[in-house]
Amino acid sequence: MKFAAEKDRKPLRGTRQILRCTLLAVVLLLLFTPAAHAYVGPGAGFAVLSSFLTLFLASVHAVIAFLTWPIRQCFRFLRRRRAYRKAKTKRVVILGFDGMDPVLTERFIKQGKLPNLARLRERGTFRTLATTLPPISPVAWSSFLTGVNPGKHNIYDFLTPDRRRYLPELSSARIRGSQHVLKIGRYVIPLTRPQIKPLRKSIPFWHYLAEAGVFCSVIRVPITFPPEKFSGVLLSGMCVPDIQGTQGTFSFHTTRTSNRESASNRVVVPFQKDGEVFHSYIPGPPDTLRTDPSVELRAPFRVKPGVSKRKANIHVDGRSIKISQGEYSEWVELEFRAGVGVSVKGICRFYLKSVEPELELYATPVNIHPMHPALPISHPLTYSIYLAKKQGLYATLGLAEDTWALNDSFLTEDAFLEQCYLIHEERERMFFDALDKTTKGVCVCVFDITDRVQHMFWRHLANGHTSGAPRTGNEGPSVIEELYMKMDELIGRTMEKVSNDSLLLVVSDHGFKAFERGVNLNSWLHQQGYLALREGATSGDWFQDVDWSKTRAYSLGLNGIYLNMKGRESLGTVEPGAEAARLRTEFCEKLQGLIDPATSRLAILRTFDAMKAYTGPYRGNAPDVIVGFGEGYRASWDSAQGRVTPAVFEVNSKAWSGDHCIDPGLVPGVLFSNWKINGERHAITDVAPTLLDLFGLQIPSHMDGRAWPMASISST
Amino acid sequence: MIDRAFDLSFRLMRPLPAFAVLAVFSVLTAVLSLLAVRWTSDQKAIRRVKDLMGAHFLEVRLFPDQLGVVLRAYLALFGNTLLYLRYALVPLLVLSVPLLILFAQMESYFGHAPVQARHDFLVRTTFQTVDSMRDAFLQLPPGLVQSAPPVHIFSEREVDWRVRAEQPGTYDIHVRLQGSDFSKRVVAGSGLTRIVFEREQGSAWRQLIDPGELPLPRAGLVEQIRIQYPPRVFRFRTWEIEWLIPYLALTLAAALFLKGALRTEL
Repeated sequence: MKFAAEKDRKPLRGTRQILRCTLLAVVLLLLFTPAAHAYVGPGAGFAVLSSFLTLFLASVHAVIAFLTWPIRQCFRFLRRRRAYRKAKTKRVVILGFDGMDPVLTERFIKQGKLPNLARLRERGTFRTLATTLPPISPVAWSSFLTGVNPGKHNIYDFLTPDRRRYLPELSSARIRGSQHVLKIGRYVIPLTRPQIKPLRKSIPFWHYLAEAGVFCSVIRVPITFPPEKFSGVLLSGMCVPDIQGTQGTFSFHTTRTSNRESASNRVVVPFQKDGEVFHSYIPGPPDTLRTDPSVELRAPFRVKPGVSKRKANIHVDGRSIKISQGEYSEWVELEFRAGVGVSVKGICRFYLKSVEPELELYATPVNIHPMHPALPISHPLTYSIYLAKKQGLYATLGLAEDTWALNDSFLTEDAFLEQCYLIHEERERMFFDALDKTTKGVCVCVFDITDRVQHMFWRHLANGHTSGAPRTGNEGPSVIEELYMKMDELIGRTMEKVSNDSLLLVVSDHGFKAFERGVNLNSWLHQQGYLALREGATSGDWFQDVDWSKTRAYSLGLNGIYLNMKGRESLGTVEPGAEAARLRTEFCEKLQGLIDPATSRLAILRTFDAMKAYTGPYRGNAPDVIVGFGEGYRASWDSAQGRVTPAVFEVNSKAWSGDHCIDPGLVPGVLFSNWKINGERHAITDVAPTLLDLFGLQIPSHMDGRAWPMASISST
Repeated sequence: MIDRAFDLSFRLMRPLPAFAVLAVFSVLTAVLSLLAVRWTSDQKAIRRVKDLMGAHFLEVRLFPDQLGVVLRAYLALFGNTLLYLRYALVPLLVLSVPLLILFAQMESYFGHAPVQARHDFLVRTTFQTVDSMRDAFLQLPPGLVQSAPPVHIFSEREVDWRVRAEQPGTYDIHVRLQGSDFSKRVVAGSGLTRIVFEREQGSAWRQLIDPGELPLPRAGLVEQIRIQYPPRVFRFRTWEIEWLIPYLALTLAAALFLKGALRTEL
């Protein structure tokens, strides 16, 4: 990978020689001078003091640890005796690959490109893994970690509607500012901490295991934000917000425009020229010390293009970063100052897109600083700090790979791919560190790159894909193939560290298919008379101009249709009970088998009545009807954002050309294991109960999954 | 030149109380040291090794039941501490000379207070030989008076004169014998001023660590002339301390406070 790393300061040859001579002279002077008692400054003082302190504390800690270790071990041994006494293995390693597709995997195995997965298939197990309804990552991974259907874990999509305002909100967590504040003029002083409420329900399997004394390392499993307490370590994954509280808002700085432009996932900030220097700023979070919520914090920076016009120096927060065109910087620490002593810290990478004729600089969404987290992103809190100290700064944002930047052509394919692999390398280091630490217990890590790259590069793979998005890189059709091969290498390296008596599982939450045409469910509802507009035939984002008093249903997100239910929605029109049931049935019947007139293909394969599809206490929060799109189809971009357009069907012309938010039967995930797993049907909900069973714990009755019958290679 | 520079800076700060001057020098020392550390050390490596030390500490806390992990963490912690010391060695060596000079200058200002006017003090002179001390006599300038006959300590080759300053001022006293003249400066009064506690035979190195007056000639008959100055102490209620402790504390505090602003990794 190419980096425009902050170059090490290398003194010139002459300077170095002078330095050496000086050092030699100093050494000689010190050797041949009489003893003198002198204090030699804070540098030496710090060196000596901190070294002494480190050694002293380490020694004290070591002695205490050694002395108390047998007692602690006895105590823990007694506590976890139950778990390990009946355990079929002492160690389970789970590699999760978001979106690894069984069809592609099988194809590449047959072509001999995935030798490690082939080995697992031969010696152990390869099966498809039934995904959830709908087959969306937050839903599927929530079922993976809880062992229950969505009706019990309450996650149905990335977004869920706020029934009072008909606006989307994050389905997994709710972040609210301080509830009690002291107002002084234009300023407010928060008296309590911001509230972060997890919306995912049910209990992850690692809580049961930890309670029984089984240590678990959980790395970047989706929907683990905010991190919940348990006796193990966890780094939150998908749905961790950026510093602005969004799911990823990048900034693009350019001389092309003189006005700031904002969209849902980006901010375009103009450069202000001052001589040879260009000034701009990274937008930060709202200033919570101001009564006006529109006041945002900013991290100013300036760029000075180099003489060669292919390089530039970025000066931010007193640091200088050299960067070349077409390269990423290392992680840059940013500080957003709200007042004296009050600041929020974040990190981002810069990517210099061009210097001439226009200066264009991309900055990733500002990730929460892992060493100074503004919100908790790990359990214990020190775990994210530990990882940052051990391996350097790393991406903390849930959806760290910036698909929006490529989708909207702010990044080229090459740049996006490089970003993905930079993040992946960080993840690999975290995983192997956790693997080394988890000599006994469960180590689980989810890698997202498989999902992101397939979303954006599927059109390279599929023949005759209708996506008209330009290919903006040198990457050929082998991007996805190479991706699978790299994941196979990772699996191979993991296999080397996992003995046969330990269980290795390779799982994915869903597979992948092409996304060629979009179906606007809101337009369909409008045309069918279920959704009414106030004026005109179209609406803006998020149901702008929708006449709720005449609307009976609406669609938000990727697969769901919601009834405008009385008592649930603020302007509900549909009576709960019989009318709601009739409407659900009506939608299911009308939508199932919907044909795209332009292609004569099946756009919607199946539809599901939530009341029949789900069980559990949170079924009422689900979309009332879940749509299972046919292959090549998905909810259109406009539909997902609550916009009504004249046409129901439209071509997907974005780089985002692969998807999985379709009928779950079309996109199962993969299940590989180094053990023989028996049984006929395997589902992602089975993983949690299987793990409890492996460690000899009783499977809670509320879990929907069932433990797989399996045997280690040695016993078979 | 160094002496003159320090004299000038102390003169500029004359209106300030002694502790404030000490504080100013502490901050300056901190800034100088931070800059020196920043420019002479591998800051990136220091930061990395410090991060690793922190990581290994946390490792012990995060994985307390994995004995192997804990042991490896302690070993790594030890190794990284040595590495940290190695990285700190270069700035330590580079800083040692200028700070030694600074220390000596500070000692000459803060180490002792002037003799009080109208109070007796001793002028203690050590001679090369017992024979030479017999002929020695002390010549005092106007304003200084000898208040008692000299005391000859033959076993130490030392003659002590008891002298009194009639009024505050800077005086040059002369020890004369066998046609030779050895002078020594005496400061009487109060306030922060350069005090040279002793003048003795030596080289340029001697002058470096005892600045203010030239060393006595090497082959001369007088080895050393010392003035019995009272030590300068800083009083915090009932606690009396010499300058080094508050200087050290203030320097460390200032360095801690300024290291962020000066972007220096310590």
